[in-house]
Amino acid sequence: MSALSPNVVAAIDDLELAARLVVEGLRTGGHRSPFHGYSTEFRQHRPYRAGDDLKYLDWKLYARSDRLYTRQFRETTNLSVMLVLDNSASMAFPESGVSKARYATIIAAALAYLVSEQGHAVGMMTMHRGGLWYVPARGGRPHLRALLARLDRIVPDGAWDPARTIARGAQLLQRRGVVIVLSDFYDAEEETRRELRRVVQRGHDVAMLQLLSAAERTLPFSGQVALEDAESGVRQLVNAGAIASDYRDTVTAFLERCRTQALRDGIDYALIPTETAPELALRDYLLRRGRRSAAGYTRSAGSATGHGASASTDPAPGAS
Amino acid sequence: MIWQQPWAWVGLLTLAVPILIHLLGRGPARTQRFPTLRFLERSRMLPTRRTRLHDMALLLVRVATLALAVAALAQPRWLTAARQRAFIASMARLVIVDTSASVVRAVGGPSAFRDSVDRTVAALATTANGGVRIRIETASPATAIDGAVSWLAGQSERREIAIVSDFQRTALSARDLARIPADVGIRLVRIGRAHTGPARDTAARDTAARDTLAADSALLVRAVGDVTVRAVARANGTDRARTQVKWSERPLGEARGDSRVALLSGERDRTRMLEAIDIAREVVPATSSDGDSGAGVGLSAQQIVVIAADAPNRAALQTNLSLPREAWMLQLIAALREHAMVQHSAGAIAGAAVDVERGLPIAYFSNGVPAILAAQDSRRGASRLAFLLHREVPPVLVTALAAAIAGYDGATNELAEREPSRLSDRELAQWQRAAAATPGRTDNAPTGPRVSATQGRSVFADAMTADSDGRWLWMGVVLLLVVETVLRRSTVRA
Repeated sequence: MSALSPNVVAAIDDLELAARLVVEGLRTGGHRSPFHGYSTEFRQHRPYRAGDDLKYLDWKLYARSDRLYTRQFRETTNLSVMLVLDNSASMAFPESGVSKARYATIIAAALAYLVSEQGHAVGMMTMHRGGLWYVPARGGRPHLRALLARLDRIVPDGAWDPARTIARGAQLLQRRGVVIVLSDFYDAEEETRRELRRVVQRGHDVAMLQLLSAAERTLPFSGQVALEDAESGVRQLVNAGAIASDYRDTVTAFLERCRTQALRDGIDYALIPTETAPELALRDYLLRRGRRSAAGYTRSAGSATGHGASASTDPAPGAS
Repeated sequence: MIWQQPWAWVGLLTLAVPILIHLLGRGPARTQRFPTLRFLERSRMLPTRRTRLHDMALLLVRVATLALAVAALAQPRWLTAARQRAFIASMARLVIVDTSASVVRAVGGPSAFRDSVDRTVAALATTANGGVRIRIETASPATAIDGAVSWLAGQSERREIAIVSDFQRTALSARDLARIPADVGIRLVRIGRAHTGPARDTAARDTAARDTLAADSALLVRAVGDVTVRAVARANGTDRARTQVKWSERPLGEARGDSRVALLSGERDRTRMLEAIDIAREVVPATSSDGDSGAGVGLSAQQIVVIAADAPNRAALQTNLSLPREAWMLQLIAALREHAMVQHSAGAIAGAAVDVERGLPIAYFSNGVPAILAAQDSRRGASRLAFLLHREVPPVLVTALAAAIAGYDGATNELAEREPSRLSDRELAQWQRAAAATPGRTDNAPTGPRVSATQGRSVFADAMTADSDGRWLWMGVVLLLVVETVLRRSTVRA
């Protein structure tokens, strides 16, 4: 099945359907599936007591020791994922076609759908007209639908305070979880970086998904163009053809700086061009994250099934 | 390629307009919302726009559109191989036929001349491309060249002048041919080659004399009536042919003198001779004009005097007479000796013998007595040609003499006509050349008469007058306009 273009996905009004299409696209793709299911972790044995469920008896141990022991599991509680969305006016670009905001909404919805389907908790945090607008991280189908409905109402407008929004989103997580920030990261670059580092230091798994359109990367205009800043409204008359080359160099340097600093801070980073099909962009990101998790976060791997009650480490959403 | 309206290239000056617009214009400063301006450098803003061309692709398309439009206005005409072949196949040919006496004599008389010319022109029309458009008959081919060149200048095909002549040296020269533009072909066709000897071929001479007599007599009959007179053609002192000619006695009218010829006569002959001269005036209208009409010799009343037999001072006059020595006198005398009407009028009767007088005989009576003598009158420094008439000269002879003198134009070199020296075939071959087929080039004229290139119009005049191929360029202009529109809109949209 060929990938759905951003235009097609963005044209679907039902965000849940769009998210499901993206996720289904992930599963039916020709690449290795990034999903391995969720897990619980064995904790200890205790002597069998009357009334214990026989299915938890350790029959092998009984064969060796002639004693009855019941297996106890540490329950891997639901992973909490907080999606932090940049809702500033700069995300409304480009004005024709699929905007970065719409693209981010679809990616966020797909991630929420994916996380919720695996039994984890997912929440959303953004800033709207100066105020924080959020949905706490919870699991369950009804919550997912409420979250998607809230995502669907997001309209990019004004500016945002990335540091404050990220910090508040991390605080909403009851325990260590995953904070995924979807933004162009144009605003308050240093403060944003500092806050992300702080979130990492608090034990959260942080991911930067940087969304950029092709026009932002290449400045494809020619002649005299009065560029108007989407957030501040400031206008600047430029000879687009003359400055395009320098502009591209500057943007490339900025993206490279974002990437290297994220790696240095232990932040998962991905640049997502908005002209890429959402499922392809998401699959590439998840596969890359899965490989990195397998290499660096083996302690969080688990494959057993069952129930328990203890806390566990936080695997990446959708990655083993 | 030929440009039919080359002045249109001035329109290339309009190319400066789009260049200036793209160089100095601010361009369409459209507003574009953009996520952030943080990557724009202020130092690269407005100062750059006044010294740099912007929208080079658009500028190139606009310049190309204008250049193509100007080229289309210049009306190009591509000279394809097929068009050149068609051009070479067409030919505007003009034939100049030399009708001078030497040619007529060379081919054996007027009838043979006419027949020979017709056959020659027909052969030209069938064997050479393009046929014959115009045929000019003249006794002086050299004088017809300017008119021929003028006519050819209006023709669009390849052009050629063919000259049919015996090519005696006085008829045509390299200087005459030099007046023909270099791109006009020259074809020289000689006729009368079989007659190589001087004009002493008696048979041909008699035939020519008979034909001339018939023509002159017919002219005379038209003027005076239908009385039959017997005339005799003389050749080499013997009667070789006789022709019945109608003659008449004209009713008497008011006698008038000839402005060209002074008449010295007594009372007895005066009326008679004036009547005869008056008749001559009607035969040859030019008789009444003044002597300046003679192009070469320029006869005037003071130059010629006719002395009648009863002129009172005839004897005294004869003491001052001598044999003619001047060239124009000799030429006129030669012409009169060849004039059939004069000769036949004299030879029709016999005359009594008279004392020998000083002078050259012009005509003889039938019995060999000179009827008219020519002598030079050199009194008082004058130089006049005097014709001494025998006392028995009939009025018709006086009429013939007056008509012959009046009709003598002196334009042709009579002596040369009688003893022609013809151009050699080698000289003619050097002067001949083919009509040019390509602009600025003559196919075969390295040794022939040369003219400057500006004298002749372009040999590709057909390309200048045919429909231009500019429509293809206009299609290109339309295509470029479409491209320009697409480029402009894409630029605005971007």
